[in-house]
Amino acid sequence: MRKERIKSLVLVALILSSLLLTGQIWFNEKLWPDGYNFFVSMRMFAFGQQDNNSNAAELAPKSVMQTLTQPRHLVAYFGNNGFILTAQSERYADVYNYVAETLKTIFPKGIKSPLRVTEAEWQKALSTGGLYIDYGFACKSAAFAAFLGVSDAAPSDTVGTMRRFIITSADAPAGDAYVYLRDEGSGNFYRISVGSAKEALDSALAGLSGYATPKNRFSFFLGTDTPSLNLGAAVFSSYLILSEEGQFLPTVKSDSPTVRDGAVRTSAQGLNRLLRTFDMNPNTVQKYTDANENIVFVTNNATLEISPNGTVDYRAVSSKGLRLSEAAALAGAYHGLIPALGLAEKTVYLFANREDTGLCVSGLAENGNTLSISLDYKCLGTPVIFTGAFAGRHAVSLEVEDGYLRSYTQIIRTYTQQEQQSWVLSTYKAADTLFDRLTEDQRRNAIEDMVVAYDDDGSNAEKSAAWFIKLAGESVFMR
Amino acid sequence: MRKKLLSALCLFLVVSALSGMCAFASPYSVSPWETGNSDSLLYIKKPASLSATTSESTYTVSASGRPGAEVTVYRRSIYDGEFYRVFQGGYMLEGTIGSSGVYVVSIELVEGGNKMLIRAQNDWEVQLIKIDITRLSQSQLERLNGLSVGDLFNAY
Repeated sequence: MRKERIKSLVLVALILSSLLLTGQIWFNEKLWPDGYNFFVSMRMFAFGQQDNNSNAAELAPKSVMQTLTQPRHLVAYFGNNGFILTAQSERYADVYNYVAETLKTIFPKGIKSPLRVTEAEWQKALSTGGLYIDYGFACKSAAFAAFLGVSDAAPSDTVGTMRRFIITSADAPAGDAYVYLRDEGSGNFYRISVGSAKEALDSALAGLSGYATPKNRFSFFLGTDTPSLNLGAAVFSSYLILSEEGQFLPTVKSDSPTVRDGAVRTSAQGLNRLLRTFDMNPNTVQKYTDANENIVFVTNNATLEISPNGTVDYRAVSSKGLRLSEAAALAGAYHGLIPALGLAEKTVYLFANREDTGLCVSGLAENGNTLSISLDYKCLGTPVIFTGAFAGRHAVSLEVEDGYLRSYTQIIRTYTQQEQQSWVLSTYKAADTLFDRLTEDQRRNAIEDMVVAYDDDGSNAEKSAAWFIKLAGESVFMR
Repeated sequence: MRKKLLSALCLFLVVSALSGMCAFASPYSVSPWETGNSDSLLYIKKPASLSATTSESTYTVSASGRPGAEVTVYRRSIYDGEFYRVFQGGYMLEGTIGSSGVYVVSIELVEGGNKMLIRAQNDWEVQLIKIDITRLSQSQLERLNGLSVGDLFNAY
């Protein structure tokens, strides 16, 4: 009898422990396997839809437009004196808010009736007083409208591609302001009235004239945009702002947070967040390491690869990839732009510090229903250009088709400001230094663009800011 | 004796170094009659006609030139008509044309006429270019702005 009781007690204990251990496996996330799990699938089935919706909402934060769509060159000019605004300038945010709001008004439905003007009128507008804005890349007017957050702009049949703008009240009726823009494809210039915007423009420009100096001038004003006799001097693009003064900029330290000792190293938490950003469930996704030491995650719809060279690569394998938003899926390519930018921003800040590392759109092209977007890093408002192993590549390159993410590649880097500062030469001195490195053939090309940027060669050493040059006909900047 | 020889050698070296420097340094003043011996060192792009009128206190002269040429800016003195080197913001307005061949200099103007001379030198080649920049006073500018075509005819 006693023996039977002991057996029953042992049996009960065994049953309880088995229930307890099974519960642990079911409910303790750490014990879930990488592969298929019935309960995770059930949870996804029950709650997955809600998760997706909340994710989509997060992909379009209001801050996206303000931080990602900043122009490459923003100049406040007063007569022939210029002030080059950078993200570090005290009133940059106010001025850029005004610019973005004003440019939005030219796209009520298509482009407001633009009036064709001559290049002389455009240059006159640049010699009075106002703001000059150069986004650094050209895109179609409807794509540009979407870039500024205008969702219902119809493509313009007058202005093809746009990149550079002027906002000025010169020659406008009292209280009004004009936006001048250039069709980058045809080279034609246009002017659009934006109504009573003079007061807001004056307010945006208030206090900036004190910083303006005759040492910052547009190339056309100095005649450096035309070739000279037989002297073979450099020719600068007409609307490049040239500065006689150098500046000090802080040095920065860069890092590849997903790589340690040549192998992929990420925390489980960081990895989970990355997978969830791309709508992959860390508990159900299939995972393997390939022959090149890439860690590959596979779902029915897509693959995500983390490489030991510090890149993340997402590829949709089914007809649809990650759905960026309901509206985007219904309304075509442009409507996926803002959620796509939101996704890029979210992914970047999984690893980077928001105070030092930034992101900025550097290319926007459309092909049918497919939108290709490239973004570059910024550090303390100064762009970062890759050299070395990543030369010619962008921080993020992504493709959106009908509101679905088809591909996404990111070079995962973080930047932190250091205490040291380094001297950055004036535009002219920089051109001298850069010309030393050019071949005879390259020297014959005009300088299309010049920009101060941090040179990231892929190493984790300290980086200084330096001038980069883009020659006419070239697609990448070089140092 | 050995000490004297050493001192003489040092003196010789210093004198030759200084004379070498002086031979290529821009002179303190340039006579208005001087012409130079080259016209292919520098090409002034702005002001294209070598004269300009402005209401601003600074004028930016731009030029393209032969890399390596030394460029110095002179201003004509109203006292003796000679051109003297310009010191501005604690620095002399001079520079060397770099590889890009671009030379740009911002000159602070006095009200009225500013007769400037740009001197470029490369080894023994010297080019002199005279530039006239007139800075209008505020009152002159207002008078000009208020002037109509009718006023011009009425003046005669």
